Amino acid sequence: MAVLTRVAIRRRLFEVKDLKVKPLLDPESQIEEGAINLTLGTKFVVAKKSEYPLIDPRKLDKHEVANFQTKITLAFGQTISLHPHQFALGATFEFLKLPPNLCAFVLSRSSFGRAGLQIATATYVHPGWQGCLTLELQNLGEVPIRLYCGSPICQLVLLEAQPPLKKKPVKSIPLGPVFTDLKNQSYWQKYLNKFISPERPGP
Amino acid sequence: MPEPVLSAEQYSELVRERLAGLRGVLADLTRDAPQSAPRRFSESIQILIDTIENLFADRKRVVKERSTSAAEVTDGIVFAARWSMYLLNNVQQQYFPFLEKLNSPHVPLPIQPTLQRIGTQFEPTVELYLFPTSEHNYGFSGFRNVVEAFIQEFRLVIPDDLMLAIQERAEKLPRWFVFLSLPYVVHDSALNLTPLLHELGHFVDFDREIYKKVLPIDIAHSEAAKTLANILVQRGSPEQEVYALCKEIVRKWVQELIADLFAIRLAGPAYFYAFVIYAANIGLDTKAAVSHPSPVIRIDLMLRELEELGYFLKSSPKAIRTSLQEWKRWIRAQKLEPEDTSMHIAFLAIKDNSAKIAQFVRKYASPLPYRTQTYKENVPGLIADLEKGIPPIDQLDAQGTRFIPSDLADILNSAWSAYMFSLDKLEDLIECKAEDKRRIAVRTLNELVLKAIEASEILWKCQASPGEEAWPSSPE
Repeated sequence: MAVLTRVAIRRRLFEVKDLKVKPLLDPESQIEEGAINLTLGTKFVVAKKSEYPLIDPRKLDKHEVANFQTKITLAFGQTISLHPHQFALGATFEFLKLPPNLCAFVLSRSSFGRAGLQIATATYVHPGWQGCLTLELQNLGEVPIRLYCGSPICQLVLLEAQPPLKKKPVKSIPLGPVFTDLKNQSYWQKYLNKFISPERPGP
Repeated sequence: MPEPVLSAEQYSELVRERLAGLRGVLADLTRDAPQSAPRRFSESIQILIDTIENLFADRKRVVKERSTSAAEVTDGIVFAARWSMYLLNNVQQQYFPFLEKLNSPHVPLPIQPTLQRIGTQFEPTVELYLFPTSEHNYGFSGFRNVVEAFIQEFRLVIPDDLMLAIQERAEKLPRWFVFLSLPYVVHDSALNLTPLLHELGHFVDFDREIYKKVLPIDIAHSEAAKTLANILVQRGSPEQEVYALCKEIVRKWVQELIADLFAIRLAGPAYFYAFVIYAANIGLDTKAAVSHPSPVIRIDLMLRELEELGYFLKSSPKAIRTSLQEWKRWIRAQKLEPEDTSMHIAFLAIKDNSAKIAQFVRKYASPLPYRTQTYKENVPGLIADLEKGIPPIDQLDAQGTRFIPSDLADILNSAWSAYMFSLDKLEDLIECKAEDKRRIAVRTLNELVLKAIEASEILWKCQASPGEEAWPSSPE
């Protein structure tokens, strides 16, 4: 499993054209030695101060999520402030389409990390994936952080995936952060339900 | 009802309270507004309020200096206070509703910068804003020279020093504030944002005063129109009223047709498809109104313009050509003449002058017409992107070294072509239940197109100023 360096990244973007990163506002500075800098997009999902009692993945309906999360859209260059311990979902401004023989990891940029910003917890991107990456933004520091839509907030490290995946339909093409949808990812409930009484709340 | 007796001091106090109230509301609306809300529009309103306050103070001073009795002073101050309140009322009623509307969190921000850029090609200082409404229609409102218009109207009573101060502040303001409204239900549908180009056409028409070049149109030019007018007169309508109403209909219809032609020349078939879908949506396939010609009249004119732009030529893309030919056959079978006699007269007058209207739009509002050649060169690659679930943001140049941002008209045409002719490819790309496929494909198409509109504009701006940084400086 080899990490793609600048020359290989450029080759896949400009010659083979099977890797899509759109738009590249400044390819020279965005494509680094072993990664592509990605910028913060303009759409966010932020937590509401609400009376919603509890997020239970087994019961959470996607329409209920609007009770404790709200969507906001800003213009490029505008800002969102993340207060200490505040959580928000954002997305990369760049749209990605990985070919079937590439996978990727999303990494924080150290400068933002040192200021207390965590940008992602689910950092692996599958071969063939396409969309704008959702970022789980959290301010772990003690002072508010102002985030600019368009600032280079994370890095994408590309790796070869062998053997390449077969082409298949995608479940969705996310172009911004989406509400938490835990109930639909309930394959694990098939076995967990054997242990949980339907009358009683979960463990 | 007899008027309550108030003293000059009470009247002055009312003006002070009103000024404070308006400033409070203005501050609230400005402070609580989203970051994209129009600060300079608020600034214009602020200047007007300040000016009215200064004018009131000046009038009071003049009254006190020149009056010879206490009663004269009272009368003068009461008059000045009433006049100030009247002006403040006008400012409040005319401008404040727009500030409220613009505070909606559902303004379709992705398309705003591109429309703004198109607008600046006609008036460099224009500031353009969008806001959603609960009604299912699109609209245009514009204010030209908000402060200058005030100065012009009251130049005789504004003292020189105040005039200089206002002019200094007014110089920094845009010459036009343009507000385009759209149905709230389509604020996130890229396909249904296309009719905003028609509203932009109204701005260009008002700015360039194209309608004034087209008008007046001789209403009873043809024998048929004269006969119809005579029928109305024989039925008892005064001749003058018949012609006044027809004239008014013609004026409004000409403005609508100019905006349609502008949009067609800017975006080609994309606007045509957006219009026919909108017309079907509001269920007005045949009816005309005093304010708008019937959709069939508009479709007929648009098809003629598309023909002029080359979309009926054999070299035009087949799917578009075939589709437009079907529309042409359909329109030939329609009755274009409105039932209403006044509208029928207006229709005949406009029909005789449709070539003249198109000629003026081509001359004054369309530096870069969207011809079939442009479509053929730019759109197929973008359609291919959409069919693969990729937003058509840009395309690599021939040398394979630089990404060229897509133009708004190209993006909208790729969107409408994909929607009309190849949505099945996007349906096949997404894994879902068969009954959900089309709905999800349309939603995905809209999201891809909105992303493309937003990102291509930003890419364009970054490339337009190579000396500047592409984004705010990173700490690393």
